[in-house]
Amino acid sequence: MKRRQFLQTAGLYAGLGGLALPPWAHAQTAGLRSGKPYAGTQLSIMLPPASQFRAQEKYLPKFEEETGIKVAYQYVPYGQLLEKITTETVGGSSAYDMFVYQDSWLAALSNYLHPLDAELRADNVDMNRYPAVYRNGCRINDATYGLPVRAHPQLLFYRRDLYEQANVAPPATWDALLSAGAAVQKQSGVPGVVVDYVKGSGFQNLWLWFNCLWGHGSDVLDADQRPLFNNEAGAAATQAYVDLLLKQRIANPGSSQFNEYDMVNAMAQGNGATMMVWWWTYSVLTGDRSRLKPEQVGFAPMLRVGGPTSPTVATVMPFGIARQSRHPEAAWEFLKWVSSPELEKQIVCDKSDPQTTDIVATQTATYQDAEVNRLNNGLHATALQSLEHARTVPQMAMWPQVGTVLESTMSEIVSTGKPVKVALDEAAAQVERIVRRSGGRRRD
Amino acid sequence: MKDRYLKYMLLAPALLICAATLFYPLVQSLNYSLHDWSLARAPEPEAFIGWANYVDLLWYDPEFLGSAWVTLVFTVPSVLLTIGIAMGMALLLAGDGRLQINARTLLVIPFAMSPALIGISWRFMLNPEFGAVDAVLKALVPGWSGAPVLADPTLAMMALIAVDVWHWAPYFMLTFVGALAALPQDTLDAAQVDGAGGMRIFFEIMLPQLKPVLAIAILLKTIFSLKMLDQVVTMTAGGPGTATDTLPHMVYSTAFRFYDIGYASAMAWLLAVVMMALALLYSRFVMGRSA
Repeated sequence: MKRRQFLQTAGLYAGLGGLALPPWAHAQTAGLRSGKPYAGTQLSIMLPPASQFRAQEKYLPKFEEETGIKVAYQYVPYGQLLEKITTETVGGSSAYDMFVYQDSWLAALSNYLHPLDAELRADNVDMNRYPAVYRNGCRINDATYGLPVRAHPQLLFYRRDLYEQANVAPPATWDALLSAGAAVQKQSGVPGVVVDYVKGSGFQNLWLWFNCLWGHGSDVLDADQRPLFNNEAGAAATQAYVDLLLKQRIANPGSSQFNEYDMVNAMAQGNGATMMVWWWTYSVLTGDRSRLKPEQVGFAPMLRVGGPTSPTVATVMPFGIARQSRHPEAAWEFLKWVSSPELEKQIVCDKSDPQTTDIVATQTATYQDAEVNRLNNGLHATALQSLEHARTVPQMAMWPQVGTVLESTMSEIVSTGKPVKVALDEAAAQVERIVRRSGGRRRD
Repeated sequence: MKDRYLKYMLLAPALLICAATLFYPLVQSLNYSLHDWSLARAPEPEAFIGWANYVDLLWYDPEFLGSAWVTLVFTVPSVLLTIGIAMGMALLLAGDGRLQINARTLLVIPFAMSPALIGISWRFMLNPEFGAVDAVLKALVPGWSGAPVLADPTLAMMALIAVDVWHWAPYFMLTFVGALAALPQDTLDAAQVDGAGGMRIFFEIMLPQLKPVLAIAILLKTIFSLKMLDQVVTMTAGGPGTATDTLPHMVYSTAFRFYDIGYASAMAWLLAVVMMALALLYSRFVMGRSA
């Protein structure tokens, strides 16, 4: 073998060897304390199943080696997560040191979470690395109760092939959605849009309604905690939302019974041309179980209902430290590591294993990273556009009750054709009672 | 030791277990129902407010009364259909023939399934896009295909009742098969010799003798229907709107989604009082008379 051939072969093997190294070999330390002060500590974390978390587990050995802290991920289905958190925290259990929660639960759960502001200051963790909407999703009453390790912006997914056949562009406004949906439906026979109007799936039938509500200039409550959603703008917003199915007839007829899973499935099975939903569904639409080829799936920033600065909706799932944890310092070490920009980038760039391939990221730098965007078809840059002026759902302790009333109302309007204004007024009366009771059980 | 003390000593372990697992939770939940306690505000019960939660529920909460009506709409047909169909199946499948034994074994499968799994499975089967029910309808009655069953208030309630009947009828069928086997054969033979037809034998000979079992079955099924939760959670979540929002679902949501433990405890107590009253009435008038 000639010297040049030897060097080339050696270089090739070295390269391959590098690729074959376990993923945690590439991990970098993320401001962890030296000297392994928490060695031997066992942490238990409650979280919903997600390929992002399975990917984190792949990298755990490096963290455990550097800190001596052992970490166990305990998965609880999303539908049972709040109940499980409630049972554990109210029961006074210290079985879980950390849990992942949803931003809209924070107002009710903050009593059971450890505030992190002192730790953030002490370790110079810059919360400005996250978009404002994610930062706000972790804060209530001027305190921070978690780091946004998982979060979702809305994206507009569309059938690229059908849109090209109908010669229309992906819609950027609500009016454009109506015309594009109708045109695509007329041309292809495929329903122009898929929506999830059913109740009972974590307020899923309210996300798109929020776009409409905020876009029309209304909101759920006013500054005095009185219902606002039944004002003229709220009624117009709700009418526009339900008319996709009831009047325009461009929504898949099954939409009245679809939850988010059904909606994504309908799109993946080719029974919808447009869908507005969280960005994580991209991997479902382009995955093995989808009938669509990746080149058929287009995505665009979430459309704006009112004007270019109308809010979109975002949802945040922060990692928080349980107030009852016996190891809050070790949990903070882990939180620093799991939220580190390096780990986040490694995970969204690692496409080696379908089980742990994920696109979810939360840090602005990751959204703007050229390599991340190259490997993910520009999804992150598009998502960042969606996040401009984005808001989370209202953070109030009574949100689950108010949200339940609203999701029932949407479901009722769609399934019975009840007049929008009448339904919203009835809902407003219920919400008034809920607000009145929320400060203590008393009546006027 | 005297006999009068021994009997209490022997009963004591069972009474202690009952007290720990039944009376303590009951008393504690009654205590919670008299407090204004939201987990979102405090992890411990807050102010004592007497009967205010009950007053709110019965006089100021139309959703609670609506939910009570929904529970009644679900319970009455589900009890009648379950008992009727179970009795019909029992009459058909009573006996020791191979066909009857195999059919009974197959029919008991729905009862062996977890209620939550049943709800999820039927939700998938009733999906208007890719559900098995829709596929059958497409082949048999194309005009009915694509109907979003669970998005229509009446159809959703009918689906919930049908699934509940499908789940419970096999259990009561087995109960009735056992009761039918215990009927004295000589009375049936005598009726046949006297020329009585099948219907007359059933209504005049068999049914009176089955009354004690039937009474217990109706009581049990009424209680099961009143506290049915799993299928509502997994199939309809109380929707569309509030069309299938039964009381147990409302109690569950109020406690574990809204964190309003005091209010949920009051709801649960009202439901429990209704069930206890039903059980007392039944045991006094129906079972007492037949005994």
